[in-house]
Amino acid sequence: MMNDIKLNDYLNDYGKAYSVEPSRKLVDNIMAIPHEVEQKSMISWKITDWCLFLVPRLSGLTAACVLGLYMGSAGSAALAEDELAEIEADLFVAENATIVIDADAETLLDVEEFIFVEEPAQ
Amino acid sequence: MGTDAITDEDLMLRIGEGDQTAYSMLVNRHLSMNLGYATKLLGNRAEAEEVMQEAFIRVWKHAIRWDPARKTKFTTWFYRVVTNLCYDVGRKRKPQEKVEILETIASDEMSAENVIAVNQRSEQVKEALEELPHRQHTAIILCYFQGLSNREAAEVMEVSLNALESYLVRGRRNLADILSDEKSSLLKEIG
Repeated sequence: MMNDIKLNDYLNDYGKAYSVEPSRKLVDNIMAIPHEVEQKSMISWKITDWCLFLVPRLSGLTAACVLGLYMGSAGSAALAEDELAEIEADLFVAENATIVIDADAETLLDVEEFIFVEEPAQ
Repeated sequence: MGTDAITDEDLMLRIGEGDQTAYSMLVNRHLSMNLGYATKLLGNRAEAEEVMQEAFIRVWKHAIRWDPARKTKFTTWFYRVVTNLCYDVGRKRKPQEKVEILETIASDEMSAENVIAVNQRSEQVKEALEELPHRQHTAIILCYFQGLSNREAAEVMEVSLNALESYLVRGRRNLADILSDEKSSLLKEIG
């Protein structure tokens, strides 16, 4: 592997070889920038700039609001269904003095047992 | 008050007010140094000149938003602009695209043999630098050729001081490896 002194020599040679001076053309082009390029003011009064600024933000806001309304309404409907089910269950209990679970519930329990049965290890 | 007493940051504020003399002063101060930097990063003079034009367009446009309260140093900000523009140019290049060989030393003080040897070594270093990962390449150029302190280079690259030092150490090690490999293969070819 090359030692540090040798590497520094190589880097010095490279530094000398590649130190470039700007050409006249480049300097002229760069000096011409203030004449050719408009310096933008802090607040733009162009309608297109405002459209570009506002349209994506307003679209995002509208989308968020619509989504919020949709989700909100779906949520309350789901809650109403729960409430209905609860009321039905109360009625069922009230009709029968003793607590008897619906015949379907038995099936459900069976299914649950079937699902959670563990197979003996082989 | 001499022109040297005016800081770059003051000049930026004046450029923000549309002062073209301030702009010329800033160009005179930073063009040469940063052109060298861009040329070393890209290995291509024409691309480096394009980068410098774009960088000074950004200076002119950005000056109006220059905020002295942020205490950003102009040199740091400008190096960042040039570095990012160079990275963009590098990314747009086709993978197999080879960059041109830069101008070479032709000094009256050196013998023809010396000139050839120095040019050959410079070309080897250029090729070796191009093989390094971007970050290591940038760190070496900022610290060894642009004369920035490690802390300043870390600020330009937006990394911690430790990370910068690690890039430098690994970069030098890789560079030495590549150059010694090239040297040994050259010796084999001659032998």
